[in-house]
Amino acid sequence: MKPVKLLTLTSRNYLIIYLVLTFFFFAVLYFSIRREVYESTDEVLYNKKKHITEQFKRNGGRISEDVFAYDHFSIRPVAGRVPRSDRYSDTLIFEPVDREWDEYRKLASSIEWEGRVYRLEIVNARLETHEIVDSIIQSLAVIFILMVAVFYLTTRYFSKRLWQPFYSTLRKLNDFEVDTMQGIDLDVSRIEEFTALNKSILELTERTRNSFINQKQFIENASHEMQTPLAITLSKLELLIEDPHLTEPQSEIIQALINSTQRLAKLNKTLLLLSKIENQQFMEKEEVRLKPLFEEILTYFEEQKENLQLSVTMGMQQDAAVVANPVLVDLLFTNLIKNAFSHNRLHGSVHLIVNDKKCTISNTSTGDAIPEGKLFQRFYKQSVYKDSWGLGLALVKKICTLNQWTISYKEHDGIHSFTVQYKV
Amino acid sequence: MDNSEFLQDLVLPFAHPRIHPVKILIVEDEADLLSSLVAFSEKEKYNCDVAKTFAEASDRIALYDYDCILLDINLPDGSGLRLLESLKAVDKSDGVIIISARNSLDDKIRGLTLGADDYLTKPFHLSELNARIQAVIRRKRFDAPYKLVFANLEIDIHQHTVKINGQAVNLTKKEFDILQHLIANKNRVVSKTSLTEYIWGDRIDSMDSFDFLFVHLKNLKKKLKQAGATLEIKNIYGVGYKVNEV
Repeated sequence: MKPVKLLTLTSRNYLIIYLVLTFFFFAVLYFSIRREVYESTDEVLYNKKKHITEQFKRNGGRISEDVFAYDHFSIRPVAGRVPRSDRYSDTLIFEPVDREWDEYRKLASSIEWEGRVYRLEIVNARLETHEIVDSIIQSLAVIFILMVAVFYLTTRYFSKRLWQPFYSTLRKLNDFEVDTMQGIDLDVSRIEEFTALNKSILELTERTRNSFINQKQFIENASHEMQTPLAITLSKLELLIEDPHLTEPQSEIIQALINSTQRLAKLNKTLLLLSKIENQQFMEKEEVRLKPLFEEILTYFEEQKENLQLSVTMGMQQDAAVVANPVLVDLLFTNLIKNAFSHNRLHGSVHLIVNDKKCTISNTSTGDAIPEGKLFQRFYKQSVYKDSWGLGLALVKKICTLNQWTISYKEHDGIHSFTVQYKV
Repeated sequence: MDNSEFLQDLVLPFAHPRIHPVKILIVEDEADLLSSLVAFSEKEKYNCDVAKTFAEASDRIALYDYDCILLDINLPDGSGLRLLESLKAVDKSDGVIIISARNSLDDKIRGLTLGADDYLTKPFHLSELNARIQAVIRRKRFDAPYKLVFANLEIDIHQHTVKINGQAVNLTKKEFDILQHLIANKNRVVSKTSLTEYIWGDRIDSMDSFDFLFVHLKNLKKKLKQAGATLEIKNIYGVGYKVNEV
């Protein structure tokens, strides 16, 4: 389900409520106005009746000329019947002028005069229903439209202001990284709910950060604690290979042990390095010239180059340099170049382009493109490279982040390229 | 085989205790590591003293002069860095190699400012430690360019040259490094792993590097043989290498 904006949702609900309310008001208005109209019409009729009856009796069973001012009535004698009480009713009378039936109110009454009963009927035009309905609808519609417009504009305005602390918190939460030295810094809001929200968020992020720091410290301490046992193991094994009585099978076992110990030691070293970078223990920066650095790094990969018969090409800007911690710069490019060589294939190629803005290292590979999300993940490795911990690229990423450089990866026609952009 | 003339040239005192025994002090609280280091020292014919605590180490340092002190800075009763301070205070010139489980840059910088000569992080290879000890002693005792002599080989560490019977042999940088490291550790078997780490560091994966090491060793042996070296690089069941004089 696609999420809806809170504002949209509340507006929609309010509109529905407004609509229902409008109908309700319409009904109430309709019936009350109708009653009012009837009452006043009936009152007019009643008054007429009284007047006519009086005239009738005074004039001796006749209606004088001026009574005709009271239009629309009839008096006729009826056979001796019990006088009936007044009865009001609606009636339609055909109006020949505009050729339509008009709505009238009729009062049927009777007059007793000198032992005879006369039937009196008086009609009076009254406000027509559709006229009432029309006028109500018109005024309600105007009110409704005005209300919606005012509602829309005010909620827009207020919700922007009211929700401002919320959006500010949201932005900060989005930017929040658990491994930063500082905690999250939230604005103070005078709205109780947001203050409560911010308080909870602060507590939560602080807890998360603390557990992250604890975990980091744990890794660091564990790694440190492992150093001495590793040193003991390694030294004992190296003393053991001095033994002149060593047999070949024993040597093989020792070799395997030394190898594993060495791998553990390397893993440990890399984990320590990662936490040291996270702890920002590599702060001293200086200008590092890239050309000599790359040339030096490449000497360590000569064997791999020969072994796989790789063609290594370089496009180096003479004076390309970065300002950063030299240890980290070395680590960064060593890892990228190592990556380019150790995942290469026979008769493959490695291509380096270095200028003062960015450096691109491209290579052919035995593997497929690395999935985007897993690229810089710790301990992610493609099964082929059994002897690596999959920490190299995590280290690369960390160093780039620390220096606010960007690293990107792409794969095109079997050429894998990493680009480090150190200057915009 | 008469090596007397080479022995006379041999200005490396620690290699020949008869001339001048090298005295080292090992300050380490881990008994198991300490015993390894003692065994290592005996093999190298170093004259070694041990101290397991800060107090013991202080006493030793006050009483004796050492060519090299292997100093673990995390001691149960005090920081090894304070030992360095007291050494400096009494103006002693003992060479010091800090051995630390904390590969912390701060400790390293502080240690080196306080007069330590080198800083080694646990775990380390014994052959690497040996090379560092020799370098420290070399710096402490001699200013002159130093030559390493073994069998009929003469290695100039500063010039990176090798002479066999006075004739220069053309070696690649890596071949030279391998040869130098093996000769510096001539009393011991240098493990394949430590040798590859000495050459490549962490840069390449060990599985690859063993193959590369093998190629370099093959070339090195060939060149030495052609030049008539009376030195043999012996492979100990694939686990390590040792130089012998033949």
